[in-house]
Amino acid sequence: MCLPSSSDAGFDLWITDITTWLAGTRWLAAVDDPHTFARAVLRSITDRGATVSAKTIGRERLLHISAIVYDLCISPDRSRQEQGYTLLGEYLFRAARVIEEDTALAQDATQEALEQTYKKIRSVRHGRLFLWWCKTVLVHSLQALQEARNKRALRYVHLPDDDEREPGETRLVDPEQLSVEQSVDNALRCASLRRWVAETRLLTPRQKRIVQLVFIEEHNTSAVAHMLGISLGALYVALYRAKARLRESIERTDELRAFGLDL
Amino acid sequence: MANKTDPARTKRAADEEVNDLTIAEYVAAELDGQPVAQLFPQVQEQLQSSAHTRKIYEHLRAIELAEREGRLDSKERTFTADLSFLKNKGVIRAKTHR
Repeated sequence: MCLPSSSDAGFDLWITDITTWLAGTRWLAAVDDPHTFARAVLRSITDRGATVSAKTIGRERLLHISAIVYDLCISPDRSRQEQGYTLLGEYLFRAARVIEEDTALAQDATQEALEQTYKKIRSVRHGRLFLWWCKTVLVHSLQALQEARNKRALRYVHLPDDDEREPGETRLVDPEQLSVEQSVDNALRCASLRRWVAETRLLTPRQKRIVQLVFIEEHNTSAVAHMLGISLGALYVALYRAKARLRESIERTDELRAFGLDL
Repeated sequence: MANKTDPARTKRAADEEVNDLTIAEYVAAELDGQPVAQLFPQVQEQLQSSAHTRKIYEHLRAIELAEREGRLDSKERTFTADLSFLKNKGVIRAKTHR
């Protein structure tokens, strides 16, 4: 295809193509004038002597969007900066959903990627590649969370049968190797542990909440402290007291030990 | 003096160095049909020897494909970011080359 000039009918068609694409995306909010944007995209392609095609336009328009979002994210104007990170978050979340079906995990990875982006944005040397750089940050965040989730899943389901277990012993087994009966048994144990924590009078409501979040749901202690609005030190004190109460209970009954809790 | 360099750590650092934008570029070039083995021999080598790099590559490839198929374009707001981290520091100005 010939290189378009501003008088070409083909040029107008490409302009329409780009502005139509833009109107169907959230990026429209970041672009001042769609026609100027479209012209700049086409100009970049023709300036480097490349052929204007759907493929080159697809790449070039994202390079331009990338530079715009980058400028927003480093803007001294707070509202523009927020707009940049908001758009970036929406984009990264859609990317995360491509490779992760779990919406909550995709959201966590996106949030983590945004915060990492903010911390490391100084190292970005080319605004036009900013979105690709952010996607690599996202993939690292997502992978770390997936690995943590898989380890958690193993620990949840891998309580051995009563007749096989030594006192206090827990083992890791591939979940897919568990029989239906074993899986149900494990689920019941987790459910009964949760019920025990909910019903026991040994713990205060706050201690119950903390035990639930830290021992059963296995959230990070820093995240739990943040969630409850208390310092990490206060969380550790509450955990220490709750564990002391549970330990005291275990001395009277072996019931908790059967849950495989490491106290 | 003993060499304190941890080989595992060094390998991990090398992985991360390759992982960043280079793998994204590798993926784009590959989907464009370019000879990636010649253009990115370091990435090619890393992909053969490191499961971690391969995983990153697979994820980036899936995202790039979705991008090219228009699956990342949407007008819907599907995610609301918690921007409280922006309050923690002043605005960061970067030296950029556009």
